[in-house]
Amino acid sequence: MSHFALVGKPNSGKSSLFNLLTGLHQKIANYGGATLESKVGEFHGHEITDLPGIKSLHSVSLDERITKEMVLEYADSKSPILFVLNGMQLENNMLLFSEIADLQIPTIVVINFKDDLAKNRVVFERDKLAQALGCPVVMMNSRNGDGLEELKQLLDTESFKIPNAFCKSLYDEFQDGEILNSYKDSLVQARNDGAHVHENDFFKRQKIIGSIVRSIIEDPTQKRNFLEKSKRWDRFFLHPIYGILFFLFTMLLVFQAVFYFATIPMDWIDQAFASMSEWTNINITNEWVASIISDGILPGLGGVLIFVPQIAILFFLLGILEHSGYLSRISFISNRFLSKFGLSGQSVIPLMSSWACAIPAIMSARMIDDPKERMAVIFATPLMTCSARLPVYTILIAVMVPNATGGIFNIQGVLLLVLYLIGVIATLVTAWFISRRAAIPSSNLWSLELPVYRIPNWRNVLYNMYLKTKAFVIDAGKIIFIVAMVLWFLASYSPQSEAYIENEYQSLVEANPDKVISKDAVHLEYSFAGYLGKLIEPAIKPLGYDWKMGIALISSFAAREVFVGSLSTIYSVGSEEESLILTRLRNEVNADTGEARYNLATCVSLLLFYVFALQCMSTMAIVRRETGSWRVPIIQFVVMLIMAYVFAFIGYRLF
Amino acid sequence: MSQIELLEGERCIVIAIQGTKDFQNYLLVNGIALGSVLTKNFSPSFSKLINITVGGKMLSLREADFAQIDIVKI
Ligand SMILES: Nc1nc2c(ncn2[C@@H]2O[C@H](COP(=O)(O)OP(=O)(O)OP(=O)(O)O)[C@@H](O)[C@H]2O)c(=O)[nH]1
Ligand SMILES: [Mg+2]
Repeated sequence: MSHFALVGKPNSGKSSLFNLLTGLHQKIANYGGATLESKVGEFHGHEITDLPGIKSLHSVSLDERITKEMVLEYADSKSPILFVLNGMQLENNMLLFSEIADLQIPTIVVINFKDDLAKNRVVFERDKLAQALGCPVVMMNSRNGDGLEELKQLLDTESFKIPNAFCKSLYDEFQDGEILNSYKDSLVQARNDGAHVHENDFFKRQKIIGSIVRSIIEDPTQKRNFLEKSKRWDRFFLHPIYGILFFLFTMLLVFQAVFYFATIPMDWIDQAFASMSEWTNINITNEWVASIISDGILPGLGGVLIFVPQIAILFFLLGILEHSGYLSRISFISNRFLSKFGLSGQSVIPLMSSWACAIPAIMSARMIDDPKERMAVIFATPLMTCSARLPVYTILIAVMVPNATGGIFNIQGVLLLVLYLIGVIATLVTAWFISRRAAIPSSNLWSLELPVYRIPNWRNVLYNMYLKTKAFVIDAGKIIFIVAMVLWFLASYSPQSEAYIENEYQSLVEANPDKVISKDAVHLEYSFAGYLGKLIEPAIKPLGYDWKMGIALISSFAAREVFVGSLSTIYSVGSEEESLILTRLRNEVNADTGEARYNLATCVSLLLFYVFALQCMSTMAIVRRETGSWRVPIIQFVVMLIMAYVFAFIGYRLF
Repeated sequence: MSQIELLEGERCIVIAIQGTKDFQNYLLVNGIALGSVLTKNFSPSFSKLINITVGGKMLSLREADFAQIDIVKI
């Protein structure tokens, strides 16, 4: 099986092409740095690798390292590459091509953005270009697959050719073999100590490329107008007033949408699970099986599935932001504001993508040029409100305030926005602290590329929404399923004998003759889970939580989205009737005061706990990988736990 | 010449780049070198950033960094 890799500048359409060839679904986005790791797929028996974009073999930036290493490896093994370039930035992209061509790797060149070229009437003499470069050239539109057949044919016949070396004319005083080796050595050295591009080398390349491009493009003045449309949009989107207002409005819209549009399907799902539990209890005769399904599995799963509509909407809207090119404009307008916190516009993509999930967000911090800023982002990002917090927020908000509208805005939606804002503020303050304290030298290099605006590729946005939501359900589902089973077991069995519990129950009934005492509740209290909860109760009592909430809290330290499912399981085991999660929480009574368990103070306290606590094993694992040791994730965990406890305590006291 | 005199839509050519070797290398990797032709785009002053077009792409640089690039209008 032969294998080849896709190489090219950031945002040149490599992943789009990879998806076309392999049928896989790599992330596509309209900014450089969407692909962060190599990904292998298969096409007609060949192994294809999609790689992160690279600006130059001489660049020292972190996100380009993987590709640089890979290209050097390919140079040694003479494995072929598919070089993808943006036809609208031909000269610029050819510079990278020339650097790679000099490594004498067998290549096929794909000139992408065929549609943009046609729209702007840029006409190439393709055969002449192929001749000048010394390898086959295909024109493609990786967005709709135009030109794919021709490329497939070339791949099937393995028509890769070693391109003409540019360095032959650059360093004509050397012999062929010698040139190649000294060039390679210089790159290997650059990899190790970040040596600089030889400026002379750059000029010579530029000159050769310039003459090639002039010889193949019929009218080079045409494409100058190409960027005009985007520039006109920028006058609005980057405007000090309209631009910023538009940004704030967009954010508000996102949160309203997440809360408002999702409520109806959420009610259906909640209802469906309650009915399923009821059905199970009636129709499954084996009591043990019925109990494990209706009290363990169903409430647990319901606790995650109910949030599918919200998460899908969130992913959909973030997808639009990523595809349109607007995300980079947010980077632009927020740059100065963020610089007050030791961050910059380069942090916007990691920070905003952590609304979906902190894991890809922390990885994408690689595209931040300044190592100090990168550390600040890695450290603070888990405080941004990820989609796993959404379930906890949603349910607690719904318990706290009944559905009410104030003017055009949904109050619950506004509260959600407030929680997201607290997350953002906590992130910024933490980042500020880290950037002042961390003993990492700042590189002080910064730039931001503004991609042209594009209409989102709807199929891709929708499909990605589906994939990510599915991944959320399956990943969260697995954990929740296991946790629910364990919890059900712990909550259903007791270290005490049945007779002992019966005895306790009877004495309780006698002591409180005018109170209805649920037998199931007493059972729960004397179960393993009950003892466990009671054990930690003293620690969480100052925050307003009881032992039942304590159990759910502990179970959510592996992954915070478990919380709702766990609560739901605990309350199902502890009561006779099946009902909606919401109703259950609303009906819970504080045994000490006789008031509702989930009163304002408790809800605020819980919400604040979840804003700050780092309850996500996967995040800790990825931070370890990205920073190279357990030091940072452990500090993060402890610091955020302390913040969570302190703020939850304050919140409980204030309300 | 400093960038203040460059208006939106005006073009210039790079005649020298000041600053550290790291900075020069960084610009080079982003396609800015001696002889590069830059066009200034809409750059609202609140942002303290300068938007330019270079080599067919739109790029933002910090004002302070851009000041290290010596240019002449063309
Ligand atoms: N109009 C048009 N858009 C394209 C074409 N190919 C890719 N795109 C768009 O270009 C953007 C970048 O595509 P990607 O496939 O993510 O690019 P990439 O090279 O993998 O980017 P990185 O992984 O960030 O290096 C997306 O918005 C695509 O929809 C094309 O041929 N025509
Ligand atoms: Mg990609």
